[in-house]
Order: sequence, then C-alpha cells, then structure tokens
Amino acid sequence: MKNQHSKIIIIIVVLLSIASITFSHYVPSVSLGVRNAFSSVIVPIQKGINNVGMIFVRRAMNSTDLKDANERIKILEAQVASLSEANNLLKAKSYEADRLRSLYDLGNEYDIYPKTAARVIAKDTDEWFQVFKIDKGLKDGIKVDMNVLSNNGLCGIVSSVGYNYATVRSIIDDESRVASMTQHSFESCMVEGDITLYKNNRLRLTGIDMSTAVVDGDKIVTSNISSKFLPNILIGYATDIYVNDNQLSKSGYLIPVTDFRNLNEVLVITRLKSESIKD
Amino acid sequence: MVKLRFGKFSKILIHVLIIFFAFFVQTSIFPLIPFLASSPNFLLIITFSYGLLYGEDIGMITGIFCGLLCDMYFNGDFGFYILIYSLIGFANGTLNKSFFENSISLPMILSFVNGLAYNFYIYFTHFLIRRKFAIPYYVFNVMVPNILFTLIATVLIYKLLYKLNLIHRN
Repeated sequence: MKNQHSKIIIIIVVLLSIASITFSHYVPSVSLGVRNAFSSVIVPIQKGINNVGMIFVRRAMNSTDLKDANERIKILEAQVASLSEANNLLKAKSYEADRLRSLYDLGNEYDIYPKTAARVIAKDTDEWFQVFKIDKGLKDGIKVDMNVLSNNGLCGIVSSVGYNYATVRSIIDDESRVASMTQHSFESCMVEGDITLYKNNRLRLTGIDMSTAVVDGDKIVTSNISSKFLPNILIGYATDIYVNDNQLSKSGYLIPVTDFRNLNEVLVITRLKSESIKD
Repeated sequence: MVKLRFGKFSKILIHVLIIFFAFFVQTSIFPLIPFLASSPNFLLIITFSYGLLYGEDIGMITGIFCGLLCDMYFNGDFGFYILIYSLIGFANGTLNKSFFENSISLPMILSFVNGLAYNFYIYFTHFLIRRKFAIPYYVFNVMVPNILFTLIATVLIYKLLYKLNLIHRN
C-alpha cells in the first residue's frame, strides 16, 4: 500500500517537472524571478566560501609556485624597466596624436570600451556546459548580452542577469556561436564552441568563403556584423585551415587567447552593441 | 559512550545542512581549482545514498530538494534537474528493502550506474537533439572523468552518510 503511494507521488513529480520544463521554456521570465530571489541569498555566502576555499587552494599551490615565481621575478623586473621606458615614449606620442587629432577634428575611432572587473564565483559543475557566474549584476549595471573579456581576448557573453550576479556563457560552450572576421582582411567567418575540441584548447572556425585567403596564424576578431558582440575584439588565431568536402567553403580551428582553465577574474564591457549602433 | 539523540526537526535540519554544504563545495570550490579535470557530483551521491539508506520516499524528497537547488541556481529550463534527481532518488530507494548492510560495493556500482544515467540524460537533452553524435568522445572525455571522480567521492561520502543513518536509527 505504501509502495503504491510513493509510486503515485513520483509520477506526479515527474509530470509536474515536465510541465515546469515546458512552461519555463516558453516563459523564461518566471524562472528568472525565482533564480534571482534564490541568488540574492546564495551569492554572498558563495563569495565567502570562495574566499576561504581559494585560501586553501592557493596555499597548496604556493609551495610549488614559489620557485617558479622567484625565477620569473628576475626576468620580469628586467622587462618592467624596458617597458616603462617604452611606455614613456608611447605616452609622449599619444599626447601628440591626441593634439593632432583634435586639430583635424576627428573623433576617436578606436574607442576604448568602458569595462568593469568581476570575479568568477561559480562554474557549472558538469563538464557538459561551459557556463560560469560572476559577482556583478544589475546593481553594477551589467545587462544581458554584454561582452566579457579575459587576457585581452573575448571570453564570453552575459546570458542572464540577477540583482547581484550574472551568468556568462563562454565562447567554448557547445552552443556558442560568434560572428567574426580576420583582422587584416575582414573576411567573415564563424567561431563555434565544441566540447570535443576545447580540451585541446581549440574552437571550430567555419563558414570561410572559398575565395578568401585566410591562412594559419591569422588574427580572428569579432565582426562588425555581429548583433551582440562589439567589433574588433580579439578572439584568437586561426590554425589548420582546410577546404571542406563540398569544395565550396573552408573550415579550420581557432586557438583562443583566453586561458579558460584559469578563469578567476574577467572584465565586462559595460556597453552593448545595440547602444553603440544608436550612437 | 554518550548516546546522541535527535528530534525530528534537528534530523531534517542536519540533512538540509549536508545538502547545502555539498552544493556549495560542488559549485564554488571544486570548479575553480584549475588542475582538476572534472569535479565529483556530490548532490548525485547524496540523492542515491539517501534513497538506498532511507527508502524511496526520502530518496525522492532528497532528489527533489537537490534538483530544486540546481534548478534555482543554474540556467536552463526550470525542472530539468528536479526531474532527473527525483527519479534517481526514487529508483535507488526501491533497492532499500532488498539490500542493506555495511558494504561499499553496492553504492559503488550504483554510483557508476547513476552517473551514467545522469550524464546520458544531459547528452540526450542538450546534445543529441542538436544532432551531435560524437558519443565515444563524450563518453571517454566528459562522462568517464566525471563518473570516476564521483566514484572516488562516493567511498568517503557514503560512509559518512551510513554512520549518520546508524546514529539516527538508534
């Protein structure tokens, strides 16, 4: 009798969750509200746990890293000296350029996007999804579709926002598609995430026109025609370009500049492509 | 030896705290360790262990709770995780009567089977429907690491939950 009882309950639970999946698939705003409420409690705790957890992780890694670090300090110190000198030179040139530009009355074409730094606080635990959460949300001005950078390269896009957190889908996620182009010749192509590739630190590069001369090592940046990604953000470098079987287009692979294994801090560009178009 | 006594409320509270703890470790500590290839699924272990130790009702409720946590936290369609976790809790609960002793072999086998079921559930719902057919790759590079890590974690967590179960019974 009791057995019968729990069988009925599990059937009801299954039916209810299928109904909920269907409903939230078509009306995502409802689940967003629930998640938002939940996260406003969870995220602060998570930040705390994160700090404590990382202390232990860092401590474990520190001892091995220390030797490395000492050697690298010497190299870096030498580099800093030469770079700061070069920087001074460039600064002087930049002032000059600014002055001349204002003389010509030109706008700054290569505008530097406003950015805000955020910390990665959680990742999807299944290897299936390459999605992570950051500790900035609506209250920090983050909006859906804002671009996320790391190591000066494109890392992902904000897919949903709560009050104090945002979810970022990285470009290596299997469902990610980025309209892109080669930096020097503006040939358009598509950068696709693929979980069969990302462990080799690669993404798929598709839709390259047969007539174009894309070669290995070409810089791939986000395209002007993308509706969500701001133009001219570096994604990575093309490699192993080959002609497709149908002899109509080329495909290949892309090595990203972002190191997806060590994502701890990211930069969010606080301007949307749609806003840029309006300007 | 001092005998620990638990009221009904404190029993539930302990279970809820265990689940929350596992959830936090799983989402915010493990994935941030860069040298780990995969991370164990603690919530899965807790769900099937409770099914095995306490029967199908408790297993199902634990599954619903774990699934709810995941659904409220991760993106995607709401109910996706509740469905799989509650089914796993219930299915393992049916084994509660036929087998019950302090042996680690059955939980290990179950951990493997449940891990497989859970991973294939995600594969079918998110990858197969987008016509991604590289099953051997997915099995060896995504599922196996995840299942192995979960298997190792099962040894530790199941023992703890088993001891807790003994304390509660006495």
